[in-house]
Amino acid sequence: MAVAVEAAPYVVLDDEYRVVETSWAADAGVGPHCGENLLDYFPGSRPLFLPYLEVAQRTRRIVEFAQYFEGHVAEVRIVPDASGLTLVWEPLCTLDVLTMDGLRESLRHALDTLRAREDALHREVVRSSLRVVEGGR
Amino acid sequence: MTGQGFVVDRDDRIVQVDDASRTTIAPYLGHVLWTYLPEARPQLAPCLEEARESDEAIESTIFYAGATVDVRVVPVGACLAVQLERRTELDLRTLETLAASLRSIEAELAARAPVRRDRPAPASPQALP
Repeated sequence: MAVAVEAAPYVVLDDEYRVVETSWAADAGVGPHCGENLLDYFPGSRPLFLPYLEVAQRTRRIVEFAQYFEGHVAEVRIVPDASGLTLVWEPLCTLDVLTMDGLRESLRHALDTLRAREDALHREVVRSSLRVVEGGR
Repeated sequence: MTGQGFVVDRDDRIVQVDDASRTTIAPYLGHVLWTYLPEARPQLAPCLEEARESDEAIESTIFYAGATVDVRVVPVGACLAVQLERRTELDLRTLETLAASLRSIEAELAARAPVRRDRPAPASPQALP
């Protein structure tokens, strides 16, 4: 069972991060790896995603972050539920590698996007903390 | 586009392709090269122009479609034989691998400005005594 927006790509992972289900939008890239550890099949992905997967698994709370991987910046949401972890991602931007000018411009945009999402998430964390503090008064 | 060879006429129309490019470029026979390689014109056209003007072979390295590409252009009558060979690919996996591969690529490009290949001398020069 997956908790996801209909069109967004998602995968459902078991407790050992093996792929147990994919959405149609994720099927082309991830579908062939059903039953395998997701992180093993995408070299370089472990340090980028494992810390967030572990937090979601340990806390059983939703974890959100923005990440660059394989030419894309995506907003990633990890939702723990009874069937494991559902990893939903929304592509935010993609590098244009056709020309060097296109690459430079799209890379700048990708880095700006990452910074903006990190700032937004940080602000949200601060707001949530404030709400907790204020609610505790 | 891995290793590809083709011939363009004076209007940059593809008029001939090598065997290795039959499945990739052949559908573009009769079309201008820039239909097949969109946005490559600013980098590749100067090599073609220089080969035409000098009537000599030109070698260069450009960045196109995520990799450095070695370019060799040889005038053949009114046409140009063009050879493209991908060399160093961008590694898009992570920002670290991207930055490292981009540094290598920029160094390659800086080291390979267009080079005009002199024609062979009509006779080998005699060794000086």
